[in-house]
Amino acid sequence: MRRVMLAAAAMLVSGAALTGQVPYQRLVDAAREPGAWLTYSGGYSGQRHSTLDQITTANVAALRPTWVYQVAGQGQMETSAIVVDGMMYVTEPPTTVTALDPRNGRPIWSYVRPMPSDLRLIGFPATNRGVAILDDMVYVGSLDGALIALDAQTGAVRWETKVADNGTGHSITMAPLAVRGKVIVGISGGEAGIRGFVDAYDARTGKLVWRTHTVPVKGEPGVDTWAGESWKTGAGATWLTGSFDPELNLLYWGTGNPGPDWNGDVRLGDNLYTSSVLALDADAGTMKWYFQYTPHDVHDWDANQIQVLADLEINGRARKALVTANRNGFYYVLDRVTGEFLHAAPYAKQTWARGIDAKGRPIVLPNTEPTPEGNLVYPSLQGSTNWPSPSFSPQTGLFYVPVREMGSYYYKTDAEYEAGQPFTGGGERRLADEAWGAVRALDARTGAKVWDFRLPSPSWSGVLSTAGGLVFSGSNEGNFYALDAKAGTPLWQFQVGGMVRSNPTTFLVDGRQHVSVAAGRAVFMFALPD
Amino acid sequence: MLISFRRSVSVIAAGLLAISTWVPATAQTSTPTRPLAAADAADLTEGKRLYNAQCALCHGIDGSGGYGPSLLRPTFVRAADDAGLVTIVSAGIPGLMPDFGRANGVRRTWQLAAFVRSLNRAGTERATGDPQNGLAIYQKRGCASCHVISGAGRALGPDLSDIGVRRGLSYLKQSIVEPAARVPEGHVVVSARQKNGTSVRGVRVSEDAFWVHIRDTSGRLHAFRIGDLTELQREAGASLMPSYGTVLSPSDLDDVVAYLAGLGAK
Repeated sequence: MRRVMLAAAAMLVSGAALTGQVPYQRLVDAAREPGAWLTYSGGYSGQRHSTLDQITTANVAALRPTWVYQVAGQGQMETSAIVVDGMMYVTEPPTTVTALDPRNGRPIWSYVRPMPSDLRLIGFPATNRGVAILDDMVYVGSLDGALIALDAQTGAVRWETKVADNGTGHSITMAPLAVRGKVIVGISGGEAGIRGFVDAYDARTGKLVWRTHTVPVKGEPGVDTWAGESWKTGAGATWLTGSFDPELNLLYWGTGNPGPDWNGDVRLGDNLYTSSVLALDADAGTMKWYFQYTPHDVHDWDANQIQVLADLEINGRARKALVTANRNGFYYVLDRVTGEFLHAAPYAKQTWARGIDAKGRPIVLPNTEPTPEGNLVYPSLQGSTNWPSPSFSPQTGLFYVPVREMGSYYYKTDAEYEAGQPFTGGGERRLADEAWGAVRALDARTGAKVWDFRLPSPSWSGVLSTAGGLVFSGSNEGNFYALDAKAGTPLWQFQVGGMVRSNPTTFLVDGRQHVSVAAGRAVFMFALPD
Repeated sequence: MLISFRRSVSVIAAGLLAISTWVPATAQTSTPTRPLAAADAADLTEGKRLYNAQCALCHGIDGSGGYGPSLLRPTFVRAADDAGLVTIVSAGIPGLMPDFGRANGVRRTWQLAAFVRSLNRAGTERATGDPQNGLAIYQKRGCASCHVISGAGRALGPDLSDIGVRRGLSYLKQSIVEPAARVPEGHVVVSARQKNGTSVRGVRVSEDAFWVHIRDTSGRLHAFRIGDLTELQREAGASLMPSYGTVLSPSDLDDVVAYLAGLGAK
């Protein structure tokens, strides 16, 4: 007994030594600590921009791989690394977290979550996009619908909470977002007729602090935007990491398509709060404002893409802005304090709207809905961009977005809800032969195109910008490359031998700038020669 | 995009292969033994309804693929025969594809599998031409200078060894009369212009953001840095194959179609 108590005391001591490793304030000040990569997008603002400038337009041509870490599990590799205090945290499919030594790629620990044989993945591949870190724990969401807290040093499970039932199509692929004392997590299941929500859990205990649904119930405002009882299966999934303004204490979370995706006849109305951005109070989860990008969406144009927080001068006035390149083909500028619509402009080929009116509502063209025979509309259902992250550089004032130039024939079919089954009401036939992609630089204030770096196919790779005057991104064909941030000209590339379907990150290792990306079935690390 | 599409499919296909050893014991034991080809119109209508609801999301509304692999193929990596197809439609693939069998039941599962099987066939028409004469025309017209059948011929165009299983009669006929109407995967025509003014036109073998590989009609492979080109044009809807619509008489055309339709049949 005494020995056991001594062991417990020893654990407490070592635990105490680690407590506060990454306190909340460090996450708030992430931009001042470019040597680390502390949240999914590198900081709460979602900018995926680094002030590191050791790798520059002048020397990037010498960049070379330093190590490769290969993964074993099945599924899609889409992880975005967290790097802090000499540890690198990556995730692998289905739901595995691995801590690597960033100097040499050697694994320190792995958490492998066994998956039930009847796991339901409705509308997305088996993947995980990364972890969150706060104090001495890392947090991961699982494909079977749980949130798990792991000891950052050892990978030991500290707690585990069921977020939602996977039997009804709920699942988690996104990286959670840790704020003061809480872990915020969203949910996938937009093709399974779920009713979406954003959750906040106590970071120490895993207890639910608040849950805010993205679709109202009877008696709540907005339920009249749903015909009959269609809100019950209204989806509005929250499947990608949101942004956060610590001063305003507001979370900005994108919501997904209404259910069923392509048959809007059974859910007439605007279908609030789907295909929207929600501004939620981080303490209570209450909705301060919302903005719906695509009312009554019938093309599966989720608005989950990263909501980027940037302070911009719009029409001669300084604004705390929220900017985003939406899946529907339009670039939006909102006031993130009030939710006021400021500006929108198309940034890719779209054939469904004449434009966006003064209040931010799309002026939808006739005959652009899915039909039983198929109706050609741009963009395709994966949108003009998708979950891969954009980047905003305060230095160039440019917004860099991975673009998908592709159209689709949209089909409408009957949709009957059955729990745990796809609830989609149609589908698409893609014009793959004519499709192409790009990294596109937009003026962040207007969305006007400044340059394009053309890709052979619609991009699935995120973008990173740095103070070295560089933009890093990848291609489906395995190129990982650096572009001149001002002109878009290619300065370096490395063929990784597999699809780049993740977001690059950058940080210091032993004082030297490194760049990392996941591609194919591996994580790659790059640095300049010694 | 073709390149990427094929890659993403192969990733999934690799997953299917690797996981094939642990398909659970929930696989159907009471699978009807009727061949899927025996499905009648009512079966296929119900199968299509189920397909649209459950499968189209990942496999495309027409079976051409998306998150999941294309189903427009004669054999499936995970389903060598009818029973295998019924099993996978029922039990799914752990971690990759849901199990619809519990929701659908035995009969509807079979109808769904029958519809999936039918996706690859353009109707059930029978070829009316003379395959022997079709073979003679195939040889006389020099089709083997661009196509391989059972190991013989030059591989510029698609391999036709099992084309009769993969494509229906109307598709085969159209591909001879209007080759550019539906260019098969992996045969996109591109033309590249170099700084010295010379151009190369051919089939795009490979393209990434920095390099393109083109096989010209003589069979020669060219590799270019895209940065060294003044123009790289993808000719959407173009084919290197000439039309034989006016070259062949209607009955000769039917004979060639009949010959091709018999290729790959067991």
